[in-house]
Amino acid sequence: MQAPIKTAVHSMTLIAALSAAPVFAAPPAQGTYKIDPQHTSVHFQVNHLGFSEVVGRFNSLSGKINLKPDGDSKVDVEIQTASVDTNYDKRDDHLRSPDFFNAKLYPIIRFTSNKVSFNKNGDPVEVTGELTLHGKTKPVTLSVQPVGAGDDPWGGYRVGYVAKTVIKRSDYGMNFMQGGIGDDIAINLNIEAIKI
Amino acid sequence: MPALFSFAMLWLARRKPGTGKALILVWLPLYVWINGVPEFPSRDATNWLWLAALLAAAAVMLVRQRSLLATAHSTVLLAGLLTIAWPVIHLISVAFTLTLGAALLVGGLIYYLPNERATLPITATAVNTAGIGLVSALGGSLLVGQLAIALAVVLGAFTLAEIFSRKTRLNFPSEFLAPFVTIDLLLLVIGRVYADLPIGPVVLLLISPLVGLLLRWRYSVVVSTSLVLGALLWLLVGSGSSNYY
Repeated sequence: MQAPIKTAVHSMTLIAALSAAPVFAAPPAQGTYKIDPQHTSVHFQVNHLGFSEVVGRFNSLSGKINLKPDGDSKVDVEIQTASVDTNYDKRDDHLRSPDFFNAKLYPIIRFTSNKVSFNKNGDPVEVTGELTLHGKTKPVTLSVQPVGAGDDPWGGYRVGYVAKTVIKRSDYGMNFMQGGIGDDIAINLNIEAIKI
Repeated sequence: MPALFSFAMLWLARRKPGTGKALILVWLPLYVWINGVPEFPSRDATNWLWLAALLAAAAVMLVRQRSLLATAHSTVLLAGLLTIAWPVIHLISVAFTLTLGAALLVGGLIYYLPNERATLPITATAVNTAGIGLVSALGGSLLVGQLAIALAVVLGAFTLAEIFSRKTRLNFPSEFLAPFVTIDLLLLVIGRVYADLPIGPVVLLLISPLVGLLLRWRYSVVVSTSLVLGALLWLLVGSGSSNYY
């Protein structure tokens, strides 16, 4: 009799331990989430002269996510254009210039969506919306991969996703140095958001 | 190619002197090639340059009276500066205002040019335009730099033609430089406002055409060129490293 009791105790301990930790596979609860900028990043990757892929990121962003698997979901993300960072100041200055992002004229890059597709588990898998970049707004679809969701150590509830898409900068009127610098821009978002 | 256009324009100008006034039009195909077909209307400052060039050329060709022409050109320049600055007017600062004011002042002073053969002012303007191109390309915007260098090539070719045709006594009115100075100043202001060109080199580049255009002594081009070189040096020393392209 000892063994089954011991096994049951171990199972209950394991369940209790798991319930205290983030439930990584569980679908997110409905609700509104504020993007945690300290744990969210937007990376982009572009070809340089056909030799390599240069990676950059934006260091400043904010936004909200409203998840309603059976209702109107919304996503609204704002990125500060001037926060572009490719690990080389002179290149960053050039990227902020009228040759590329024209950061003074277009200080905000914005993504808004009213269409979020969910899988049968209730996880978002695709977000279709509009990306406003360099003064132009075009439709964009992000493929989404859930990373984790659950209670955090501070009593909040968090969700995390990786979202990816590829855009053409020429669609947004960023045509300078085509050929030398690739037209396709791969965008990779690592998002962590806190329920509010 | 722009040099060929310039020489063709010179050939036309020999038959009909007024043609030389529209030399700025040679720059327009280059502008479209570098900038792309401009959207209209547009918030992007560089997309308005073609209109400024056309209006400035039209003013030179159509307005005969010098005072009226000065007014027309100053109006084109002022409208161009305001159009460029308007979308970012909320960022206005003392330096911003002074840059616009100085550009307008320099543009207006061109009418104090001696109304005679203009080889020296042409050379000074060509050097200044090349300087704006290099400083912009190295200091902030390759696009603005390329547009300025294209302008300098057009003007430079014409300068050479003008120098080599001294004996033919071509008598181009100095006013034909006005559209070049207008575009020069607009490019410089775009570089300062949108690409954050350092204020020091920008000031030297603003003074440079003044020296070239206003001083009548034979070394004005040397002084003007020195100021352009000073702007380049300032930029290179200030930035602390070579370019990354």
